[in-house]
Amino acid sequence: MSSRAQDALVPIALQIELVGRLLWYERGLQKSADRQLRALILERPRDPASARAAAQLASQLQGATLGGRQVTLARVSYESVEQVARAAQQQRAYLAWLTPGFGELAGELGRALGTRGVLTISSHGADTARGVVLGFELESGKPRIMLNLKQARAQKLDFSAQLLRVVKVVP
Amino acid sequence: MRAKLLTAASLVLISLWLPRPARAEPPPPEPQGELDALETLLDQPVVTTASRAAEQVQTAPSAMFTITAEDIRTYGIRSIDEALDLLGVGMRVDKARDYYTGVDVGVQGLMLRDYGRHLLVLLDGHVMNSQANGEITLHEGLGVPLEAIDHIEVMLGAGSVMYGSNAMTAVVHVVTKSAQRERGAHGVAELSVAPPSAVDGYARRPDGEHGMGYQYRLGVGAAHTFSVGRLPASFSLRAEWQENLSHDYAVAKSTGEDFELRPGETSWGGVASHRMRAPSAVLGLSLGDFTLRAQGSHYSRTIPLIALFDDQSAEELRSSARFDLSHAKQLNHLLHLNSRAYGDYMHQSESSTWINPWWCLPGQIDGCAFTSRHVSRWLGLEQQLRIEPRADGSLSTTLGYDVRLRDGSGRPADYRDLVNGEYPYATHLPYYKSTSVLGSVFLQQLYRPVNWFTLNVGARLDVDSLFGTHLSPRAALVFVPHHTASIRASYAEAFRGPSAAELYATDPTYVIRPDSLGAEVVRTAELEWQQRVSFVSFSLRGYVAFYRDFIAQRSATPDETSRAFERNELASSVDPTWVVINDNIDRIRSYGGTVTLQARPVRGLSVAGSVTVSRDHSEEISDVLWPRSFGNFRLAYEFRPDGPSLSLATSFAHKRNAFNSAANTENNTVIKVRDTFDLRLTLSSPIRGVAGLRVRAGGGVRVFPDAPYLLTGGSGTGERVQYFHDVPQLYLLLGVSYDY
Repeated sequence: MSSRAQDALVPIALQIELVGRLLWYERGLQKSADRQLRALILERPRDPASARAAAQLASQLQGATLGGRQVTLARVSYESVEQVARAAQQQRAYLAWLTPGFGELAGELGRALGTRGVLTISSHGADTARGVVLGFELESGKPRIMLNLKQARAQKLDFSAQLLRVVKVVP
Repeated sequence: MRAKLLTAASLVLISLWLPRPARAEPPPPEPQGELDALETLLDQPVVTTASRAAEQVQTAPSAMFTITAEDIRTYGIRSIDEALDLLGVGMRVDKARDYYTGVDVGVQGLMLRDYGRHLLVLLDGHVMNSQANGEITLHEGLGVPLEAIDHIEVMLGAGSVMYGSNAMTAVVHVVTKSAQRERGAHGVAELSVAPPSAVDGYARRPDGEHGMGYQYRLGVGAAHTFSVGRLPASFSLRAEWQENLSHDYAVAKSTGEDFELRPGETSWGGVASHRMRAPSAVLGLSLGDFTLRAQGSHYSRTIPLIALFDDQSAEELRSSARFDLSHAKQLNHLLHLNSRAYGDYMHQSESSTWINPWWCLPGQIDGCAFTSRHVSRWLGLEQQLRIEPRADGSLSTTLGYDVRLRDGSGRPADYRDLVNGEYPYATHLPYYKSTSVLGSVFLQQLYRPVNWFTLNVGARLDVDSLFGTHLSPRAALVFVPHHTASIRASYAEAFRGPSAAELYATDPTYVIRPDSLGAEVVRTAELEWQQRVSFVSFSLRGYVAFYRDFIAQRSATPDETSRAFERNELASSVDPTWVVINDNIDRIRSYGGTVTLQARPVRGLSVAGSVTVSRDHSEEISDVLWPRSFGNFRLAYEFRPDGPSLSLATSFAHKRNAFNSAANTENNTVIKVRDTFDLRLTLSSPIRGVAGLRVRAGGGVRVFPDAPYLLTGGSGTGERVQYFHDVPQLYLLLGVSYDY
């Protein structure tokens, strides 16, 4: 299933800024002594919207700090769920950012990466209902952070109660 | 013992020398500043109207505000004009109706009884203004179900750089809910009741002669998302029926033969009421990158005070049907293409009955039935290409075109004999038909060399077969020194091309057509500072606007009148001194500013307000309707997230002129609407135990009801100020909604 270019998305720069701030409230990351944060950008081949988002993410995440951690980045072109999971393991990724275009596959990726403890983030809020941990959507023209708390807890991600006040928890 | 001590010391030394394994540290205290910043970011709307692309409101090149669906629910809003009045910023909307003109909307120092011509209204990016006369209304006649609205974006100031004609004072963009958000079935039922009003406009106890008013709204909706093959698809529908059987309002009796009196009547006045019906629907279908939207509405309202008193056959009608097929595609990692094909049909009419022959044509000695009709049809194609050569989004070029084929026609002044229904035999009744083409190209360049600075420049060239060409430039500089602050300086020009109706519509009793008309133009400069400090955010905006070549009616010269007689445009009985003609005659200068404040002092409580103060000066239209100061204030408390909420919303305005021109009166009397203060209290709550069921209850009051109108007797005599309180002073509201 391809992505729809008409879907209103939260601008990528704003998504990055929101993640950068909310990761201060993921206690697992904050307890970690590692000052680096390894991130994967998952790109759907032959999907221009995905390529565009991946390029924007790569450009704006490179050298950025998220939750006080310096980001090191790898771009992964999707071939299979297993290949992505392997890449996440090899890179020791803390988070994987799904670009638009994965549709139903987002759920499979969320679950597969979840078993390896990877925080999955999608530009589509609806993907959180499929098993992605964090997503974004525009509700009445305002950005909303969607959090699949059940999936987050299953992955031992420890978001603080303060953060839960400002995100929308997906049932 | 000594050996043991040596061994222990060695172990300590070795342990100190060995590299320390990575060890989990206790988490640092969570920084409150980050949470504040997060809340700030989540509270900042993402808007699309100003640049035709998603951007945070603080970096937009124009002043913007948004009203969300939640605001509409929380504050007991019943129509878009109410939303803009009670929740808007820098925008004055007043329902002081005179007969049928809907609402007066003022922005940037300009408030005319102009039927919305200086304002552009969009529905999901689709232009809604009539292409025959430029008109649009923001009350129930707009034809958008309230429950279909996701949010309303309002861009204040000149907006022609992106949207062309009519976007002189503001662009009101109504964005409907997506099928994704609307999934399921929905229903709403709401009833307002209003007591009758006395001659002074204040509510009074109902009795046998003075009845209550009722306004109800019934709506249904459904949305579904699915797949067709590998393509995502969705469907959404919202339909609504609104009806108002108004309260009875008392009107002081006027005596005199010059007034429109039925046989046997000796005075004009008494108790009147009106009826309004407004069914409307919006439909959305999407498949892959294609989206089809359709809208239909039929608005009717009796206008019982226009001629005969309480004439229930006098009526205003507005119908519309629109479709919009759009396609959006990311062509590659650089190029994004939006295409839109659209078509609209709009019909407007007004009918009334006149007894006094002075208002009718020669030979219609028993009176006449007057009808005015305008029909507008248009088809268009618009494409917009966005080029972003840099992945970080620091450089973005938008270019596009819009081609529109317009057909406007009308019978602006039909007079039929009241007794036999026949058309006049001696006077030619006007009819106009105009087919015109509008073509435009636009270009916008956005450059953000560093995170804290954005430059946005653009221009649009409109070529219109009705009047010629016009170039609308805009330049904006936005500084964001910190995520809590932004400063914007901008300059923009906008225009309104003359409509087919202004060019060609005539009335044989007093209006002749001009030889030509040019475009109205506004030039504006603005400076805005937005700042957030802790839980408080405020903005300060100043503007200066120069309006020129305003189209207004002036007295026709003897030469123009005699030529009109030769063209058979005027009835033989017309008094030449009463003949008027449209012309580009006016200039208005306005300057002012708006202060806006928003705060969330404790969780669940939100407080907001804005005050606008301005001065304006016009050279020909002797007085505009713009109040010197106005504003609104609101507060809402949500007892728990998605739980019950209690809100109070108010709006106020300094006294203002009731009419555009003092020339309306014989002795140049300036009639004022006194200070207004409206207040509304609303409780909204989910019903425990029934998921999806919500109740909304509340009431509103206009504290100082005042609605003057100048009543003119036949032959131009007998002028006096009358008060028509067709907007109730009080009302109570109760509604339920259900989302399945």
